[in-house]
Order: sequence, then structure tokens, then C-alpha cells
Amino acid sequence: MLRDLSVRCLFGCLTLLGLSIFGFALLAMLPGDFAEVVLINQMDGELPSAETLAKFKADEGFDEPLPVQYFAWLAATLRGNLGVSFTTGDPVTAELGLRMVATFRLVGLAFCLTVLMGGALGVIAALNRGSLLDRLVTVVAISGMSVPNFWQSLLFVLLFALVLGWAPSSGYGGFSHVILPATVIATASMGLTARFVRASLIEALSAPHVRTALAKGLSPRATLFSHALPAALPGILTLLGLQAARMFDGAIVVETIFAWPGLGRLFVDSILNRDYPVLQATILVVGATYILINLAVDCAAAALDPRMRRAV
Amino acid sequence: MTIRPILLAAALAVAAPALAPAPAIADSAADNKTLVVGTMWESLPLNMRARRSRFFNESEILDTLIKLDYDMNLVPGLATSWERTGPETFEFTLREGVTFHDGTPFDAEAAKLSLERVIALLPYAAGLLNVASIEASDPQTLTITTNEPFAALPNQLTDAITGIYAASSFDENGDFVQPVGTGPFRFVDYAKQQQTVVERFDDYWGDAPAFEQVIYRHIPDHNARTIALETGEIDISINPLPADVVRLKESDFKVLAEPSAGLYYGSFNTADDRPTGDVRVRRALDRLIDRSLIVEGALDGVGMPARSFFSPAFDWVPEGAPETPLDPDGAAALLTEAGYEKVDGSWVKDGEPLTLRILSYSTRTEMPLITDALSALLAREGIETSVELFTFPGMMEFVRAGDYDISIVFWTPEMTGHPDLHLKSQFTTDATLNFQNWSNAQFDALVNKGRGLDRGAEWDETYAEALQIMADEAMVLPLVHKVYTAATAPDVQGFRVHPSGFFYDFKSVEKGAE
Amino acid sequence: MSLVAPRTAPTAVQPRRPTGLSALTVVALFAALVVAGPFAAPYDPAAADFFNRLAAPSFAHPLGTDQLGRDVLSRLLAGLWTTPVAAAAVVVIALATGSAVGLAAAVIGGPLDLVVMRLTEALLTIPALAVALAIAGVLGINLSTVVVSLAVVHSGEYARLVRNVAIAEASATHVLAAKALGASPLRIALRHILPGLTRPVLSVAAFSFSFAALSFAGLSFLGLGTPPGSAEWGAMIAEARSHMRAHPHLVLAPGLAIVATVLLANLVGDALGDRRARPSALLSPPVTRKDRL
Repeated sequence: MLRDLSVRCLFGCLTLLGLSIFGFALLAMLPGDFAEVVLINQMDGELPSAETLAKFKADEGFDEPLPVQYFAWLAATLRGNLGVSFTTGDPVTAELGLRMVATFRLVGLAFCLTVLMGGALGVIAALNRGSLLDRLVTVVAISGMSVPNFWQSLLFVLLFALVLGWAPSSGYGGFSHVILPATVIATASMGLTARFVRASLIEALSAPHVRTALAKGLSPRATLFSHALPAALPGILTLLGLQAARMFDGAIVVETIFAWPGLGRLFVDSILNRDYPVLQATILVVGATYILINLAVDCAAAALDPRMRRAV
Repeated sequence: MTIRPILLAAALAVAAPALAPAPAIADSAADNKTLVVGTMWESLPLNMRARRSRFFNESEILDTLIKLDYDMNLVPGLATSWERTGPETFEFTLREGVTFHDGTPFDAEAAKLSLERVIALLPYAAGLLNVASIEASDPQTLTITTNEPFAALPNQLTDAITGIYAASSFDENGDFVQPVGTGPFRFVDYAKQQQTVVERFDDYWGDAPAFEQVIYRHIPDHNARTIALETGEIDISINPLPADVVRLKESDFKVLAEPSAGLYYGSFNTADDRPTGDVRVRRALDRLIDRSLIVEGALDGVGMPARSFFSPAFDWVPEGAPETPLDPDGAAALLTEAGYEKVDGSWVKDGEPLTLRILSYSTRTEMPLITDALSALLAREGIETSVELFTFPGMMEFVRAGDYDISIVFWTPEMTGHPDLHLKSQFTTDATLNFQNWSNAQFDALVNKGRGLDRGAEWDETYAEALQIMADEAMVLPLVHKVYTAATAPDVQGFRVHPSGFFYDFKSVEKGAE
Repeated sequence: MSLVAPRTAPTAVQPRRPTGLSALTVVALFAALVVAGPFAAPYDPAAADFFNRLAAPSFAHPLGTDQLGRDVLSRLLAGLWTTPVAAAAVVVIALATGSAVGLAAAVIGGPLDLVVMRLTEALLTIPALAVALAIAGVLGINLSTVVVSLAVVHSGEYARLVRNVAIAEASATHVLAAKALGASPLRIALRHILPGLTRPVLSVAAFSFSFAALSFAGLSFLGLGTPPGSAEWGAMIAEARSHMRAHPHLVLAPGLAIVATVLLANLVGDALGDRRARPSALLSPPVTRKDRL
């Protein structure tokens, strides 16, 4: 298992390397002279003169061939130096610090909501399969999966911030600031999780050993928690790992609307501004996080499911 | 049973950061000694690179040698007077008794050091200022020599980047550390992506401001910024959306508007192989489009229909600058003359409908709306369009390649109150920004002549003539003169919007019951 | 395309309901609406009437007019040819390429299988919208860029699913029988494994349609999907957003159109997926490698 784990870590690193090349290629494909674009951005849209441009290129190493630029970046990154943001002039690590904390708080809460609400709804539906309650949960869950998050954000701000005054409309802050955007992000994954938990439990409940337990007179609830849930858990964990990536998708739009200074907004801004050091760092951070989450989830799934132990 | 502890641990690990207390943001909008301003740009007080439109808060931390008043006229800043002592030299008399926030005195040596640091640190400052040398002739006199005769130097010295920094703003290597200036407020704190805090400076050379503290909160989303105003989270919302301006006018909130130097315009590709290569087509379009409908449709009436390149709202605009009238009949005649005829409501030439490729960029909120409205207006007049949106650099790539008929841009041509900056850098034959394939030797000569002239009859005549050539050639399609707006809470008094869009003046602003 | 349950579908856990048929009916009805809807528009969706801006709903304009005086109902109907069609294109491209790759990985196996699985794993762990956004932001804003980039990201899901189910099917009795009778690998793949894949693949297709539609609308909302003035629902919300306070229907109507479309796809996917009721088989890779063809 240890060997398998190290193989997976290696693949994780390769994926990261691939992502960084992707990010670099993306910027190389951008129309326009890279250095000029950066300068225009610093000058709020004015075009620099030819001499200014030449000096800037030489100073920042833009006149090197692209592969040289890439490897220079890679070498610096491996030494822990992520460079300086082209837009703000601050070190990329400083840019990332706050953003990471902000996004992890937002996505973390969204994830908790997903697990708690989605899990609870799924269990309720599975226990009451075929009943009116089950149908109701289905409708709620599938509706949640169908609402565009940007639209939901707009309506939430109107309703909860402006009409009801329960939460601030936007900005970075404590629990009251994070609850609205986190709920928006969690809505879609809550629905999917509820559906998946329900289906997994129903599958698990039909397994011979569970049916035996039921036949021997174990109460449905006890059967669920002691037999069906453990069997279904590995699959559920895998799903939750994949949901994490979807949550970052959600964060991109939601952070913009709620003025939440997270990685999602940084990502959009760095693309629009061609802030290459920031974009590369953001891709790496997000990529590494999801690779780690999925690795952790697979390990947990393996630990919980003897059948999968060898597969990891 | 091993599941529960694992789940519990996982849940805790995830929940802990979410529920951890966040750095508190002072709820100061309710306090009469603190002003909270919601801005669309993030102010970046701790580095000098991205300076230009981020100046708004430093306009209260730093002073420039010369300032622009609310009519965009030059008024004394740290220099009380200035004189052109030769074609290439200017002499500035500096204000006495001014101290920096760190207690050091302001004099000619300090001004020289600051300007030289700025030119060294900012890659584009040298080109903008055109400065050859700076001398501190005596403690109150600064002499600046330019590379060539350059009458616009005092105007350039109102630019945000030329704010005067104390020596302690820089470290021993000459790198920028933090802004230490002479303004009414001194820099206190900056929280990335959140806010910048400044405090009243009691030894300020001018009138003491009413507020003890100003907080600039960064709220990039336009809707969110106005909602924050309405929920009482901020006192002033800068640049509210036009629709909100219309709505807030009906409420207790105050809406302030100031016609500005900014212009939305279409830049024509005048290459021969494009439909817009025919001057008659360009002139027809210029006469055909009812700008007031664009202002209504795209900007809810917040803007001034533009019929000339420079807004007539300002004193410094040359006397006799031309305006193109709205003239649909004249436009139709011009199009007919150019070989087009109207078939079933569409303009057609050789069986091909007149189709314009319009490019713009979506990173500026109102751009898609203006482009959309323009395209709808053209469709109504029987001219087809194909519209594509990019980021600004993406659009420029197509513009450079000449693959367009009209590119819709926004520019602040007279940010510093002088026509030279824009005409020279954008429309002369060898201008780095001229991607319109337009070249006019007479225009070039006039612009180069204007640079060296002092204000007066000859100046007016020269620039009016240059602008007349632009109008006759119709190489730009002015659309809307931007109106800068701000909305304030009902109890905020004395705030005015500066037409440059870059300066906020809170010295005479007050809050609370009168 | 067949939505009829394959003969080889595993025994259903719940009593048989004609979900396949009703799903087919719903999809057909929606497809008919998409095709015909824009023709039913009462006005030209692009025709601006500057003297009738922001009109309240009335008999002449059942959903009112927008900030340029365009008829909102007509724009909603015209929007049927943007988001749903783009999402369908994403699904078709992703399904075709992903299934081919997944099937190849299952049939050929070996290093190809390993590479494909690691690649799809990487695709599954990167945020789809972020990648599409990056590509659209870079290569310019047009429909095909967005469709292709979303399709690339989605294809990983199909490859993984098809590969896993194919390997599971490969160990099923009827396939082993065919193999024993000497059928070629290609014939086994096409005749014996493909039918068993139809239902789970269609279920995933329905869900990926809904993800694609939401991503597409989201990109358009951010101004990176369609050109300005397009009658695209996300873009309509973005353009009308500043008028939301005074004219909420301008934001509500296109939003509800998106919700309705996506809801429909999700219901279809749910109906198809529920029958099989083996979600863990679809998501995790529990299939051991000795079951290979």
C-alpha cells in the first residue's frame, strides 16, 4: 500500500507539472506582446513607448526564449520564490496568503454544509424510500442542482442583505459575511450529495448481509448505521472529493459577486490582467489542493473498505 | 467502529478555518469622525508600480506640485507659481512652511529627490514627463529642463504619479516602502483586498479636514458597492451603476455627477480595403448615430452625448473646436455618394450589405452595453454589424492586425488638461498607438507645433485646426463623454466629484446633522 | 441513440418503471421546443426600440422589454438556440471522444489504460469552469472555444465511466461466453459491451448537459461566453443586472429559463441513473485489473 501511495504521489506531482505547463502555454498563446500587456496594465491602459518597453523586457527577463522563461520560473518556484505580481507589485506569496485563507474558509464552510445537509437529506430519503418525504427530498435536491449560482447569489443578496438585513451584502469578514456565499456554493453539491447518498444507501441496503441483518430483526435505523453506511461510505467519500473541485468552480463566480477576496477572484483577475506569476501560483495551489484532497479521500476510502485496500 | 472518529476529525479539520474569527472590519460608517468610502479599484499604497488610477487615496496622502481644480484648470499645489523661463525650462516657486508626515521639511531638494525616484522606479514616467534634468536652484525654487520644447509640463505635473514623497518613503536602496507625503491625511494601515486606512495629519499646510480617519473599502462589484451604501456599510459609493444612479436619485441618498474628461469612442480602421476606408462612409456614420439614444439605452442617461473629440465642458478646450451635427439625411446622401443604395431597409453596395466588424472589450462594465446599443442603432439604420468582445489586450491584437472596422474604446484624453497627450500619442503618423492606418502630414505638423506653444490665440488656432482635420476626416466616432458619479449617504455633506475621476477631496466633507 | 433499457442490465433494485420511455419523451419534447421556440418569437430578438425601454409586462410584451427596448420573451425564446445547443454540443463531443478513449483503454489495456486513467483523474480533479474560463479568456470570446474547452474537461468523466463499466461488463457471463466462442475483441466491444454501457452513459450525459449549461451561462454572465447583445440567458442576466432592483423580471425570467432547462436534464439523468442504482460502480475504480479482456 505504501508503494501504491508513493506512485500516486508521483502522479500527483506530474499532474502539477502538467498544470504549470498548461498555465504557461496558455499565457504564451495569449495574443499580444506579453511584456507590453503587463506594462499597459500598470499604466492603466496607456501604451508604453518602444524604449520603455525594451528596458522593461530586459529588466524582467521577457526577452529570453519561452522555455528559458519557463524553467527560470520552475527553478525559482522550487526554491520557494513565486515572484512578484505584475499587477500590484507585491510578492505572489503575499497575494496568495490572504486569498488562500479566504477561499478555504468559504469552501470549507460550503463543504461542511454539503456534508451535513446533503448527508442528512440523503439518509432521510433512503430510510423513507418511496414515501412522500423521499419525493420531496428528491425535488429539493434536484432543484438545488439546477440553480445557476450567479443568479442565486444575486437573489440572495437582495433578499437576505437588503430586504431582511440578516447578513452583510459583501466583503470579507466573520461568519455573517461567509454564510451567504457558502450557502450558494453548497446548494448544488448538497443536492448531488443527497441524491448520491440516497442511491448508495439503497444499494447497500439491498446487499445480502444487510438483508440478513434486517431479517434477523435489527431495526432499520441500526442496520443503516452499522451495516449500510459503512458499506456506502467509500463511494460517498470519493464523490465528496470530486465535489471539492466543483466548489472552486462555484467560488469563481460567487467570490466576484460577494467581493470575497479568495482564489477564485484572484484567478479571474490574473487571467484578465495576464498576471502570469499570480496565475501560475494560483493554478498550482488549487491543483495541489485538489490532488491532495482526492489522495486523502482515496486513502480514507481504502481504510474504510477492505475491498479497495489493494486498489489504492 | 472506526468511521465516526475519522469523520469527526475530518469535519473538525474542515470546519475550523471556516468558523475561525476573521480580522474584524471596523463598522465605522456609523461614526461621525470616520468616513468610509467604497471604491471600485483597490488602492495599493505599499507599492508604486500600478500607480495611475490607484491615486485616489493618495490624493489625500500626497500632494503634487500643481493641481487641477474642479474645472480642470491648473492651480497651485506644492508649487505656488511657475514660469516658463525658456523653451525647454520651467521654474517652480515652492510653498513655504510645508512639513512631511515624518516631520522633515519640504523644499526643492526634497521635490527633486522625489521626482527623480519616481522617474527611476516607474518604467513609463520618463516618457510621460519628458524631463532632461531637475535642479534645486535654491530651497524654494525648482528648475526643470525638458528634452524638447514641452509646454504641457505643468499639466503633466498634475499627474497622479508625480506626487511628492518624503525621503523616508524609500529604503536605503531607493526602493519604495510606503507613502510619506505632505497631504491632509497620513497613511496608517493597508489590508490587502480589503481596505486602506488614513488618519488626519495635524500639521497639514492647508485647512484642517473634519474627519479623523478615512477608510477606503475595496468593493469591486458595482452592484455590491451601492448595496453596501444602502445597508449603511459605507458612506460614499464611487462610480455607482447608471441604473442605481437613476434609482438613488428618487431616494434620500445623494447622487453627485460631474461631466468628465473621459470619452467613449469608436476608432475607425481607415485602411483602403475596409468599408471605413472611405471617408464618406465614416462621415456618414458620424452624422447617422444619435448619441443621445446610446446614452439613454446603455447608460440610463448618465453621460453626455459626444459630438466632438474633447468635451466642450472644459475651459482649456480650444476655441472653435468643431462639432458634428446629427444629420440622417446628410448621412444618407454621403452613403449614396459612396456607392451604397438602400434596398429593403439595408444599405447595399454591389449586392453586398454594408457590414461593420466592431471590436470591444468586456473588462469595463459599460463597454458591452455601449457596443450593444451602437450595434442596435446601426441595425435600425440598415447597417449590419458583427461584434466581438475580448479583454483589452486581446482586442488590441486584432486592432494591430487591422482586422476590424471600428474598435470601441474608452480613453481619458485630457486627464491632465492639455490636448497634446492624446493627439500626439494616438493620432500622429508615427504615434505608437496609431493602428488606424491614418496619416495626415498637416495634422502632424499642427500637433508638433502645439506642443511648444503657450496658451493664447495661436495655441487655440493651432489645436482648433488640428481638431477640424480630425472632424473632416472623421477618423474617430465620438460616442459619449463620461459623467463621473458618486452616491453618498444622506448625512454626508460637501463632497464633490472631480472631473478627472482620479482625485477624491475629503478636506471639506462632513458627516452628521448640520 | 437508444434509451431502451439494455437486455443485459443488472436486476433492478426497485420495481420496473418505464423511466427510459418517459425520459425519451421529455427529451424529445424539449428538443422540439428548442428547435421550434425561436420561430414562435413575437418580435425580432435583436430589434431595439429606444422609445420603449424597460417596459413593464403587457399584452404586447408579455415579459416586458429590456434596457434597449428589446422584447424579453423573444430573447428568451431565441436563447434556446444558445445555451441548450452549446451544452448539447459539449455533451456530444465529450461523449464521443471520452467513450472512444475509455473503451480503447478497457479493450487494449496495459500502459494505455494506465495513462488514460491518470489523465482522466487529472481532468476530474481540475475545476472545469476555471479551465474553460482560462481558455476563453485567452483565445477570445466565442462559442466554439468555450464549447471545446468544456468538452475537453467533461470527456474525462466519460472515459473513466466507460472504461470502468466496460471492464465490469467484460467479466459478465455473456461476454465470457462470446469470448469462449472466439469473437474478436472489436466484436466483443461493439456487440456485447457497448449495449450495457448505454444507460449509465446516457445518465451521465444528462448530468453533464446540466453542468455544461450552467458553466456556459456562468461564463456568459462573466462576459466570457457570448458576444454582447446575444440573446443568451446568462448574458441577459448580466446586462439586466443593474436594473434588477427596479425591474426584477429582467433577471428572474432568464434565470428561470436556465433553471427549467437544467432541472429537466437533471430529472432525466436522475431517472436513468436511479434504475441502475449502482452509483459506486460508476464513480470509484473498484474494478480489479485481472478482469481485463
